Amino acid sequence: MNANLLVERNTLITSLIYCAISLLLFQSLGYVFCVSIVLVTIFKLSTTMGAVKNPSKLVVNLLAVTVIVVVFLSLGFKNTIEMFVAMLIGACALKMLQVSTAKQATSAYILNFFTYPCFYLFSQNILAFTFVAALLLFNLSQLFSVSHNLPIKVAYKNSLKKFIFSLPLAVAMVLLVPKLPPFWQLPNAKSANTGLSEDVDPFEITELSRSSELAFRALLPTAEMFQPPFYWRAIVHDQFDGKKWQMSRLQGVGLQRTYQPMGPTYSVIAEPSNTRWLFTLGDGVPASKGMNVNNFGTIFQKKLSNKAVQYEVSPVDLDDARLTRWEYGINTQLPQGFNPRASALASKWNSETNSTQEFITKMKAFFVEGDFTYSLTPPAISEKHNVDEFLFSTQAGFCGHYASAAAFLMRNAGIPTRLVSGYLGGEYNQQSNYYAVYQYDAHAWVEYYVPQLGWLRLDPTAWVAPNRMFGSLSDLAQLEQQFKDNLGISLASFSNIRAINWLRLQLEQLDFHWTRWVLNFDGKKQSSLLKALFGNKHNFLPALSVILILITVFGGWFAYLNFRNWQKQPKEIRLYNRLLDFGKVQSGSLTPKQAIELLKQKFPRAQSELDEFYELFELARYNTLRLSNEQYKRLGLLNKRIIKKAKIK
Amino acid sequence: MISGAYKGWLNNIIAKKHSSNSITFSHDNIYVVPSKSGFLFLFFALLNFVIGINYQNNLILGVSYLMLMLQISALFYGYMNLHGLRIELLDITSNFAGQHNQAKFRITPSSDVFSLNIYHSEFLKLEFQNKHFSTKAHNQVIKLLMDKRGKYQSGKFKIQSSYPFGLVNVWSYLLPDKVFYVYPAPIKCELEIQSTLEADTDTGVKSNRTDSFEDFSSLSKYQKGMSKNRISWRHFAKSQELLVKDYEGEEQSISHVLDFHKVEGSKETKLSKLSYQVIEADKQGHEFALRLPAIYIKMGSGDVHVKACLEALSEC
Repeated sequence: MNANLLVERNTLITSLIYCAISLLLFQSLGYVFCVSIVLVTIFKLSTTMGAVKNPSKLVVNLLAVTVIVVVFLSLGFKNTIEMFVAMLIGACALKMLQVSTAKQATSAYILNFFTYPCFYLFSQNILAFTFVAALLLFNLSQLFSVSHNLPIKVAYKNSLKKFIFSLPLAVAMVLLVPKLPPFWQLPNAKSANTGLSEDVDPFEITELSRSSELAFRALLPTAEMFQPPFYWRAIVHDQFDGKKWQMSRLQGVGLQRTYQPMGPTYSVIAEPSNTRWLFTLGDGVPASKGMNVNNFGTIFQKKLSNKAVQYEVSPVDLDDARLTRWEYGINTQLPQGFNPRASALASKWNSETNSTQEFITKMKAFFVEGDFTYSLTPPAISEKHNVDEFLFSTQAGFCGHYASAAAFLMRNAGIPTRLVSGYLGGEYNQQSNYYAVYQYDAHAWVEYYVPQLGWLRLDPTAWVAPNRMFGSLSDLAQLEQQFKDNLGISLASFSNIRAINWLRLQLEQLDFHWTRWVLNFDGKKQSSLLKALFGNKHNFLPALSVILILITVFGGWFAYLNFRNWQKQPKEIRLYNRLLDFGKVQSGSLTPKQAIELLKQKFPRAQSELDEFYELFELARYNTLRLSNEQYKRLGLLNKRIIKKAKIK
Repeated sequence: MISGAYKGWLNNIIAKKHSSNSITFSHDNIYVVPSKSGFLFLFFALLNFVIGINYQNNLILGVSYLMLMLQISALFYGYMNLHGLRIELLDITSNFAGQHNQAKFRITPSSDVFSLNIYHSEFLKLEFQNKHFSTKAHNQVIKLLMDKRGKYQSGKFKIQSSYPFGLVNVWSYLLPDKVFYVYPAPIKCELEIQSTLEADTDTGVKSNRTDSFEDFSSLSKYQKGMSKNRISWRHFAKSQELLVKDYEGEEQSISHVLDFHKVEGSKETKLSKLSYQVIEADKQGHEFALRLPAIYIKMGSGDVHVKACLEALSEC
């Protein structure tokens, strides 16, 4: 096939691949960049079809400058890693406009082995893995195609074998080569756009958009303390400004209290999120490295991670029975001049009751007896007195409404109260014994302080929708329609069809194992695997075994290839060659007859055997008939005898 | 100095091992190293490794190991690609400067061979790139474009392949002992008919002119080396027998002495003109002798004679 045509075709396909990658990463790279890559691809397409002339160097350089400017303007210096990847893809896409020789194409395809895996910086689920693996295989075929000037189909067949040969070795290396700690800190890519919001501002929302994306998974040991309802605490909000509840300023400050351990540790595998606040059941402290814990007993990451993180939590009982004066101040703070009706109601209840518990009972009665409904699509409240509006007129809302209103009422009565957001519930996977918690399980509730007892949980939403406390939101029958409308099209929205639900659960489980064993295969997991494999010699054996595996695999393979080649030759040739090797005769320009004569001179004792050997050899080589088995045996015997006789000398 | 000595030593070894008209590639005469692209590939593998470690990203780390394994296995694949291949240089034909000399190779692979390149240490631009061969004997002709007359040694052929992926450089050498000539490019000039006494005295051959080419006395069997111009094609058409016309007359009809000193121009021009005259004289079936400063070739005709004259001209 014509080399130039082949390069042309290959580069066109590669341009389309760059375009696809940019479009898939468009949330991270921004639409301006993606549009420019699409334009470059269209340009490439039209040059290939001959509609436009091939661009000159100047044009390509101008385009490069344009792309750089576009990247700077749209991404800026803040998103270092996004900018880096965008530049890389942009440069590669532009290079494709210019490539014309096989040599240039070869270097471009080698560079792709760096470009394509950058996709893993943004996404690492099984789909992304398969996508990039397929791209790499295809890229290898393209490299083969351009460097050997063969059609892609032939190249693909050839490279597939080599790819598959190397794959298990690479996996073995990932498993066995000791994991190194990071050399230096690098900026992370923002990969997730979902997660909890740091401010709870329910009133202006008319439609709670919820996604069926996974938030995290939890592996809970079988112990009595781990019983539903599961309230996963993440963010504490203690500042109310009349409109929204803001995250506490102490959220990112380390724990300064004493605590008592309470039970067995559990582990959580959190998906990448847009915040670094992680999830704990009640109070907890981290039992794994790299995690911090704050004064509220919730765990957070030091840095935002772009991949799933696994951490261990040991549940504790925080020693928070006493409240300092400034803490009391913060947790009873309210802005002046908001919600007069609610304030009046709270004052009224306050004067009628003697304890916090009695106050809560009054409040509960108010909610239960009133005409409140739980709704994912509440009417918007944009008035200044939003709590009044909700309590006395709209009376429909989701967790944020109820928690805000309750906390407002309690603070009015002087009870230290704070809002907590996190997740409620989880879907239990029976085969692998874990709970999966989704974004639509996000929840908000209230914590209030009782002297001597500490902080207690109160979920006002449960008064209105008691079912919400157990199981996931997806289990709520009366909200099914609303819930599905909110989800949009996804597998979860078809979960009442059995087959689809089964499929969804299988995929979910596969993803769980993937996240747990592949993405989070860290030094700790590695050392426990190596311990299981090598016993107490796991300190040096793994490194040794890698080398041994490589040597045996490559050595064995090499020996096999040689053997196969050797076996292809007929027996008489092999025997003849053995004789020549033994006699150290260079057969390059000699006929077999001459070579045998030479051997005869070297080993005069074996002359008769050599003659007979040559006779048989000649018979085998130059006759159309095959030698009989006896004759072959004789040949082998002669060969041995000659060597024996020659050695006697 | 050191590199010079090293080169000499290396050339010595290569000469010892590869001096032959044919070579069968096996473990002791194939050289394998990663190519430039291979090192680039390894560099990107390292880059992936650094990124994989820094982001604790097992997938990128896996890609880096995969690349390393691909590179290592490529060395083996590259080796096995050439292994068992037999290359023989059958002949290199002589030709005039500016035209192609042809090196005839016989290539016998033991299994499919990809992307075979043949280079030469001195003759650049061999048109033998990226050729694939299946398992059977192939005859391959490589054109050598030479524009300087002379006698040439076949020199050192480098047989190379970058299979697979261009990541490796697998090569071997072939140092045949063939010799070939590049004749001076002919320049058109008058073919002077020398019927001088001088020629007679020198050679003892008479140079009587007879114009009747048609008068041949007898036919004799064609033998290799005789001038093709004298073949009686009429007889060939009739009887499929190659017969040569023996002309009547005392001896041959016309004869020339092509003298280096009698043609005009610089040395190279002279040689080129003589070259033309040799061909022309042969074409017309004349006998000729060639006088060069250092050598005198006696009167004669036929392919062997022409070849001897042209070789003398190339070497002059």
